Amino acid sequence: MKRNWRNATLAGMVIACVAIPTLSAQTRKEIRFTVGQNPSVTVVNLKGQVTVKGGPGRQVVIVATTYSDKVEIASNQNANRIEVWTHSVGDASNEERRVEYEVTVPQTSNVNVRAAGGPIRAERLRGDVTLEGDHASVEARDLSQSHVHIRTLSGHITLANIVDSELEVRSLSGNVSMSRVIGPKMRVTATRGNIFYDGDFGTGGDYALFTHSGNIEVSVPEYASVSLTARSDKGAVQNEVPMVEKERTPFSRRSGSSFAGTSHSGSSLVQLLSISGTIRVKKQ
Amino acid sequence: MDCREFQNELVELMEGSGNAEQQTHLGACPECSALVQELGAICEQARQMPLEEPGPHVWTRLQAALEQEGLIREISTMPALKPQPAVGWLSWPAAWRLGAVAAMAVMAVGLVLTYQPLRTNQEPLATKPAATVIDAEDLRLLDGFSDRSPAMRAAYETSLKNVNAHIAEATKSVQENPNDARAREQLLEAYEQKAMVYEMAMSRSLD
Repeated sequence: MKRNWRNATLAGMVIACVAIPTLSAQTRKEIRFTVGQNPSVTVVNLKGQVTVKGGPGRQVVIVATTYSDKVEIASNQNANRIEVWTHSVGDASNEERRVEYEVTVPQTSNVNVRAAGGPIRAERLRGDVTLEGDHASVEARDLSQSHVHIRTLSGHITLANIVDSELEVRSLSGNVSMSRVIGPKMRVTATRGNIFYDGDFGTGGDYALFTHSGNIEVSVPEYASVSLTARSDKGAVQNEVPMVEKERTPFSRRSGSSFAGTSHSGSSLVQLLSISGTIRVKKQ
Repeated sequence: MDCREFQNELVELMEGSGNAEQQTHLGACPECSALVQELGAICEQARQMPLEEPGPHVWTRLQAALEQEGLIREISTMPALKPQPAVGWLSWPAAWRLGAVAAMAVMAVGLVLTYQPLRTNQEPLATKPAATVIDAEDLRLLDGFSDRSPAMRAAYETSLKNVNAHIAEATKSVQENPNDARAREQLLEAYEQKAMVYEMAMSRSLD
């Protein structure tokens, strides 16, 4: 018993010896800017999470946490434009370059985030939002009246509760998942990624979901009012939602590989296209 | 003159100001000869197409892309980033790189709009699908990452292979269905995806 207690104490001391230097390498820096209406805020980060949230007031607050002395936080304000970026000093390893940003901006800010290696998160914004991650995942939620541009190479993209907005989303091999995302205009393009949509497509919108070799899965309630076309060159198209099939379409129809129909008044135009993937339209 | 040198000076030849050395190579190299013939056919088709002003959305998107890249903006007091040694494609001036991306997009649009299968009495030239591996331009782009971040290089290499495979399939689809507007749209989409990869790589070079 004594030996176990001694071993546990030694283990604890070793852990503390490792943890204390690690924790002490963390440095938190806070920068505040006062801005006018509709400021423009740009954050460029090499590695680490970047979170941007809309808040009240006319201040941009940037809290940056660094984990080594081989990175510096640089910032600049030019009238209503704020720029913050991570600058590596000397030879820094990937982990030493890690910086985590928490940024609070006025909700009507135009936000531009480029973060190659860290997850990006944007919430509660009503301005133009541009998010770019290479293999970073991107999550955007609670946006309204926004122009949203999202690009990733392999990072997965998650969108939730975005209304009255125009969206252009591109990913090479990341999946794109959308829940309650309503236009009036949306274009999602993926090369290898899958696209998931869960919502009713609103009214009077224009939606185009395109993936080259990924699958598309759309889940809509029965009350959704859509004019829907779905085509896959080499994959199957399955529809479970009651719709009136269109008699004439601008493309040649092949049973099992294409579908065109209208639900209720067909208010929103929805186009689903995959070259070699499967398209499924499910009932919620 | 080898094929690389010949193709670097192709513009002069197509404009009618080629020299004797180019003509000699043209006569001796079936590959370059086929390339010149194809380009000539595309140019001829393009001349016969009515000129159309691109829609306003084209210029809006181009302006947004330029602003996003920071190539057009007000002069700011932002301190210069620590200079990084530029390699390969990244050593080009930014305007040239953007020009290359824009040229790629314009070429894609031209290719999609003007592509017609050759109609001659000769046997149609064998058309090759686009490479599914990375090409010389892609390699130059990747070289810029090698010194700074091998992991990033690997990620971009994978992305380029994916998008090149996409372009290859879309090109094949256009060749098999030359009158299918949708096939052309897909090819344009594929090139736009590749332009996206290049734009993002350019952004990294400035970060």
